[in-house]
Amino acid sequence: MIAIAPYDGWAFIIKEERLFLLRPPYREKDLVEVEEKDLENAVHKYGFQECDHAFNNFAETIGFLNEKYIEAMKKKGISLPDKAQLKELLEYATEEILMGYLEKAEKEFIPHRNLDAAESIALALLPLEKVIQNEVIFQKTIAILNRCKEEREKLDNIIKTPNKTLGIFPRAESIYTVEAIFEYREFVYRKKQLLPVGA
Amino acid sequence: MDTGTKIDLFELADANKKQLESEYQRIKVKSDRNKSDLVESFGARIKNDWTLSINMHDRALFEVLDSGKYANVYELKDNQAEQLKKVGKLDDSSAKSAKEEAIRKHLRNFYEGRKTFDSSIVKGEKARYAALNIGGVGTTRYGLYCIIIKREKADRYKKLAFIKEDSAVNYVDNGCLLLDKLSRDVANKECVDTLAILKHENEIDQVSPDKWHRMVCNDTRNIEAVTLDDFLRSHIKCVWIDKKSYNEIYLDSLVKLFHSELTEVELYRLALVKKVFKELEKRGIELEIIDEN
Repeated sequence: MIAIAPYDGWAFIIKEERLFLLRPPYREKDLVEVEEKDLENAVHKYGFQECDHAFNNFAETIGFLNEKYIEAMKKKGISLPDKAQLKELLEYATEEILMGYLEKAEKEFIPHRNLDAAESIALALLPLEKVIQNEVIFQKTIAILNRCKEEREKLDNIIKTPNKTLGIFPRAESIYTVEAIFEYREFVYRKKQLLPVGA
Repeated sequence: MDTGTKIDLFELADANKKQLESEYQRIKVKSDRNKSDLVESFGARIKNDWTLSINMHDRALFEVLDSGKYANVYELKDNQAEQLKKVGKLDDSSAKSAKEEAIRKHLRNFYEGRKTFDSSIVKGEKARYAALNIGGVGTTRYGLYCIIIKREKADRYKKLAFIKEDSAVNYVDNGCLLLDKLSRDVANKECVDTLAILKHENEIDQVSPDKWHRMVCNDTRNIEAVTLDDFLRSHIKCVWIDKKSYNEIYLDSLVKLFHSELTEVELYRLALVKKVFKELEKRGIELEIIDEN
């Protein structure tokens, strides 16, 4: 590593004799090959500082940058936010982003029985001015909450009224206890998948 | 180099008007009708839409919004020295050399080119650098946020010059300013359209007009703007961010709040983003999301 912007977690690194700019969140695509003039520019205009550190691998490099970033934030007196504070960022989200959150809840979290996540997204969005004023987003938010409620009821039904299904699986009932069958059925319901992927 | 031998970059820019005009005529004469029309159209676009942009990260942007002023590297080090003096860690006599050392340390290997350029021009240490921008999110490689200066403010800057390429890289060699080259490649704001035409004369007809803004200012190329005027918070028209980067904040990072754990680094990053968004709101500066695709 030959230059770092510790307050931003960005760095210039040399890898296999080539110069790269490394940016958070440090995925492969965040590594951009650059020229020496870019380094000069970054140092003069964009607050990078020259440094000289060697690392054995990418993980070590990222670990170092993370450590420096945390150190810099503490030095600047920035305190760690709690969840409620961060949720305030949703007030600045575009309608497209809000729809993206609801799509994620609808198409990813609910089908995977992650009802807590889906519900907390909908509940976080519901009081937002942009949601209240947009009928489509508002209705979708309500629909997500209703879907979560329905899914929870289905789950409760399975747990609370096990007798309904007695006799459907006679062979299983002859081998396992009723409690074990119910327990497993609930597990499968929650997991939404009987066999591991690829089985 | 003493003050007497320093170059007034802005006088140099004013003096280059005739040369730029004759170069413009050369391009017009050698171009066919179609290219000539495009050149004119490109020049008009620059003339109408030019402004200045500065890319920065969230922390730097927050500091500009909070302090009300953009500080260049020399001023940053001055501020740091002042703070040290206040807490009794530095006395007046050592402050100057400490500041020099701090700048040298900051720029170290890359110090000479910048130092040569800045010390070769009048009031070089006061110079602020930006990029010519006619739309687009600027040099995002160095900062996701692109501060756009109000045109009416930039128009009123008393000292503003545009340089075709990067000043510290292209106009300095072996510790010397390449004055002849710089004299040909510098323009005042009245001639910035001509300078841009000269820079892009071979690309104007190769790039679709709706992509000209990316040709003029992108991660690897831009026309440098140099001014001795202050970039103040009140000069900011708006802040642009690329849609992809903006989406990443929300769809890759913040969404984790609802389904998994955020790391300490992610929490700090989001805290800083929130500070920036709140500060922009407080100052009445709009964050505009630009879809570059």
